[in-house]
Amino acid sequence: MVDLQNLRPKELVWYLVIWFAFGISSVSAHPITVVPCWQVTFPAAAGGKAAESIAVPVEGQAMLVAIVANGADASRPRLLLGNQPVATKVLGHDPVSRLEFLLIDDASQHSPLPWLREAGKYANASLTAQTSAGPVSCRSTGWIKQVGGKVLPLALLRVSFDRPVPPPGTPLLTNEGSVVGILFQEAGAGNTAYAIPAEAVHRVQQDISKGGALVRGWLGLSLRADVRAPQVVRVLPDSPAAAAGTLPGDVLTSIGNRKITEYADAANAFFYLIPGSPVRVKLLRGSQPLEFTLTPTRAAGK
Amino acid sequence: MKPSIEQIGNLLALKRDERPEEGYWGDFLCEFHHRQRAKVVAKSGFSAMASQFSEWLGTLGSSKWAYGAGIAYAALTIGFILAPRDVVLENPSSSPVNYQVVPAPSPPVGQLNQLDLSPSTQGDVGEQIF
Amino acid sequence: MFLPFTLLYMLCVGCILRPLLTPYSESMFRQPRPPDPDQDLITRAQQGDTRAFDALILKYGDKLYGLVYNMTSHKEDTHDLLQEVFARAYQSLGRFRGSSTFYTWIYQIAVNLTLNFLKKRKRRTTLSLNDLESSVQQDPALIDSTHEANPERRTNLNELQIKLNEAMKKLSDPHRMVVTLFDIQGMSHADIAKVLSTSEGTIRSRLHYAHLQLQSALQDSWEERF
Repeated sequence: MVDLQNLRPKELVWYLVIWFAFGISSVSAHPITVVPCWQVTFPAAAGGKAAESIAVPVEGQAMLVAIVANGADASRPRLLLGNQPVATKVLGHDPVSRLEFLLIDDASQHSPLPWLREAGKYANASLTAQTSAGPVSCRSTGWIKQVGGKVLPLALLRVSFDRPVPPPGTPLLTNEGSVVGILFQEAGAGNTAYAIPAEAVHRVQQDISKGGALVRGWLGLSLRADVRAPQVVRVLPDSPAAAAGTLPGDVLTSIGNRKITEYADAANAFFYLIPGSPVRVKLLRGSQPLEFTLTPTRAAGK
Repeated sequence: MKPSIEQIGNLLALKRDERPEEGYWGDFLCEFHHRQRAKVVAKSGFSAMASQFSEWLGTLGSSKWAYGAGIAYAALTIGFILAPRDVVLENPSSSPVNYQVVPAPSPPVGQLNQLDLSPSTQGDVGEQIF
Repeated sequence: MFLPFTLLYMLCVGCILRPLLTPYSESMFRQPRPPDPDQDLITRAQQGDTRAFDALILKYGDKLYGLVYNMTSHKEDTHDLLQEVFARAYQSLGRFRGSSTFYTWIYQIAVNLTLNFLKKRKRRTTLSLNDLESSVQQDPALIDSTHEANPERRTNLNELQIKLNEAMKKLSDPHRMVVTLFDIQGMSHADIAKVLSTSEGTIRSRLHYAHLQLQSALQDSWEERF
């Protein structure tokens, strides 16, 4: 389009004239719009550091979700709408995903955007981050399952920006305006960040709105974190895995509708198990593909 | 008498076959790669960024006028926009980043039980029960 | 902030309106460009294949060596400048969008760095023509591959070449540059104009002037035999 390397002064003058003419007219025609911004501040926990997050309305109740960074005290949030403080109550906080759900009294202030059920289709897509300064374009570039040699308890989306990363909690939207996920933190490498996908928010919200805390599903099988292959090492007695007939040495190939190709995929899939909800597990015993239905029980709280 | 322009051209054309000595390019490539590696090591730091920026400025050529005009225009428009008005811009302060996260290429050795990505956090090693 | 949208909008409008407002001969419908013969190596080098960039260095190395040496007449300076040229090219490779061929682009880098270097050298030292001359005469960097069988003819040719080198050094840098690119490197007027970012007319007039200078300088050394 514009060939800057071969630009001549005459052409440059033309561009400038046109830009100025339309610039003045368009700037005066479009006033700056302000997007109301829910912000929450968490004070420092003992030996930790205060943190801030954007809070995003979720569907269903007058609830917002925010990220509590490590070292902050999740129990004493201070919520602001625009610059106005709003009374809020902590519904629950999950230390695994660092998600916290806040209740507000005035439902009229709560206008949630639609949320996707799961982020999968938008793992490599153009997205828009909704910041208080307006929409910021970004791009999701796949799933991150481990960082620094450590497997994450749930897979995050990697998102890249053209400019500095917006604050944690910032929602990421599809072109149709549905929430795909919320930013978790900067990745620390050139304007990239990690985001918690919508399905994780739904999973945690489901438990917290019922009982105030995330309750993990438990199958009673073990895998080794330092082995890449998702192979069952041990099956605990009197466990759902034992009841279904899983044996040590079985290699998991899918859990529910999630394909498992390595250990980290299994760790992520296990996050989404719901106690009492049966899940179809496919595995390989030697070269023989098998399929079982396992019903996780409640995991003991950590 | 004078040589003709063509004769001068022919004389100059003889220089076309001039080459550096045998083995020159092998040593050249070694030195080139060595310099590139040294640059990567020295890349961190503000002075390196500043020198990279000034090198980039040097490569701009005639497009520097376009960049300069663009920056001048942007500054004017920003001044125009920020002139006092009724509209208030809201700007939440961003939370500071506590730590750097660097992905490692080696196979995972630990399982994190929480989303705590600081490099000092140790994951659980060995058998993980799910 | 609305600024990015505004700028994008104006850019699009500007680009749409421009052909309507300028004469047809200056419109944006340029000739479709033939593909760059180095495109495969460039793409691989941009993706991090260092051997692809090595191949580009080896492909253009000799010619660029000739260019820089004929301008600086100094072996060490030539080597340092070439390292700088390729380092600069490697660094900027990510930004190389193919608006010119790699050949033109790498020559542009070499020409700009050489001319800047010569400006700085003039300010820094008062290298006499004699200093440079002697380095040329004893310089093993240049292998004369003329392979003349006739010893007497070879001696005369060498003398003439020495006189020619002297005359070249007396030219101003821009004039010496066009002679190097046209007569020694064998570049076309069009390519030289692209590399030096001037018009072909300017190139032709510079060449003409430089040739006249060289002609006068060689007047006394030229023999009937040639």
